Amino acid sequence: MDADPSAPPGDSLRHPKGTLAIIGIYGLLFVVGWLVIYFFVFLPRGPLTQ
Amino acid sequence: MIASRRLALANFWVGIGAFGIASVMALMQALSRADLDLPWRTPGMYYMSVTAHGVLMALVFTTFIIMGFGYVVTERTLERALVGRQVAWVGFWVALAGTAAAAVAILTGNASILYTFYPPLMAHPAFYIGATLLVVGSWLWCGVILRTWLAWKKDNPGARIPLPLVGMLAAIFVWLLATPGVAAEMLFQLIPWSLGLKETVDPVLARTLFWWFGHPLVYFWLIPAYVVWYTVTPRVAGGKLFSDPLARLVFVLFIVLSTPVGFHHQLLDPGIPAGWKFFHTMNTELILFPSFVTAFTVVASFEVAGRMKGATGWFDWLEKLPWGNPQFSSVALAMLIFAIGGFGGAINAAFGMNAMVHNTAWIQGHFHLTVGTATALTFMGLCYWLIPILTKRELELGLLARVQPYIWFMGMLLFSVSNHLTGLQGMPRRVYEFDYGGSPIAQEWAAGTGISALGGVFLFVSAACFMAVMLGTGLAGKKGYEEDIEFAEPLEPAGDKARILDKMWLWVTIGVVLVMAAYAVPIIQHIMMDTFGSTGFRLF
Repeated sequence: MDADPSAPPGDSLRHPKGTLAIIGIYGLLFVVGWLVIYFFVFLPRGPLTQ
Repeated sequence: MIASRRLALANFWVGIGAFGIASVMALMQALSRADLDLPWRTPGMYYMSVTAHGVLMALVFTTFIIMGFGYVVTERTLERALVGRQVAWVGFWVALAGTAAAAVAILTGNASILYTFYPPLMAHPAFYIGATLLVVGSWLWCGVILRTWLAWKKDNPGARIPLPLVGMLAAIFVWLLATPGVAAEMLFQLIPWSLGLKETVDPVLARTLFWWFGHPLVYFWLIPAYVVWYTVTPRVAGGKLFSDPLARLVFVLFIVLSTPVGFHHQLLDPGIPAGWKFFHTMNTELILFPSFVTAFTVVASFEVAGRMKGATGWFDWLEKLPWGNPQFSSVALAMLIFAIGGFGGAINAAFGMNAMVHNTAWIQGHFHLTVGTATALTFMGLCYWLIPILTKRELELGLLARVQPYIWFMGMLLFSVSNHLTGLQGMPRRVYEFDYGGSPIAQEWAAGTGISALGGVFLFVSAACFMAVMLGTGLAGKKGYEEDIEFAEPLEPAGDKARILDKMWLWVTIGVVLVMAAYAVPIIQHIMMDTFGSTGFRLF
């Protein structure tokens, strides 16, 4: 059954745990992806000019 | 009630028309890149179509949709008619005349200089004058909305600015901070040069002025899309906006941080001191923050919607969202794609790694995720919502509307991921020759360009679906459709929270100071140097 939309927001609405998990995973992938490209693609190529 | 319904609709239709023409150009490029034996395939045709696609999509489609949406937001949220609607119409016609002039110059092959119009590539003066008129028309749009807002403010002292209008004002202030750069480039460099009044042009100065405008242009596209994400989509999802003050904070941060970032597009340009490039790079990293906040707030609003429908688990609220409603799916998929684009943007903006992806296919892969989907797909969802309301006609071809965002999503993944990968392999962008003059390394890119072309076909099919729905609705939709324009309620009213975020002139002042700090010294230093101009080149 749907909740009453006019009721004051409960804890489940104030604390969006699913969103926090999704954004946390995204943030982790973001940082790991950036570091992977930096260490495993960019650095091995060496300087642009010799 | 929208008193300026016809004005808003006129802007929407021009934007939609530009999108349709630009989509045809995109299909031709995608197939051409895959080395298909197309009729009339020549370098001249290719670069004409790249220019037309870029200008019509990035400058015309976006600007007109934003102007139309801006009028709707202003009148609906302030509940009053525009102050100076005649001026708004003048702005529309000026922008349309400018668009027509630029489009004719491009489509006749006299302005194949790509959307960035970098000199010393030279176009017919009609292109530069036309593009300038488009901006002038948009300034009149800014003026009308600002006047209407100020009149409301005078009549409602102390009232909170409605959130959708905060976003639209942020877009306007970003635009007013950004466009002096391109105006200076046009008026003092490109127009006199193309008319033969000046023999040479300084390309580094021109590029600097272009990117003063060119990167905040991205936020000018994105902020109205965020207005949709924050104030329309949560309601479409059946929920409420998670946090009103967070949304206001994001819009204010864009006013402050959008413009002093342009040198991150010029990290490989000579003539700009490394310290200034670093300053702009740091500002660019800062501006990732409002987008992260947006990701959290909007997804949280979707979670609120799911929970209001009874979800209790960690992720079961996702199933409760209206994925079959194109107003929702277009935005949700646009956000998903934008998450990937944000990651790529952090690579582009890294001072060192920029050299690895600069001018490669990675870049076109990147901006098709951001403007090409985060903004464009959101605007398509906006049209599914507003065009029936403004035309008072029911949406036609509903099935096409429902599948269209998903086809776009699939096509963009194929197109963009393949371009990111071939870009990392070193494939240059903006090159007509499929085999790069017979270079052996080009063979490694062939599979990627084939997948990219397949993505292009998906995108074209999706664009065709969108155009069919729009034209079907506008021309043959069942009359009598009535729906009021409603925006999402916040979970908790803003009340007096974070009132400082409503002090627009404070944030604009800080924005102006930052722009001066970022550009005054390097531009003065550049002008004081002995520089050597270039004569113009017309390659096709």
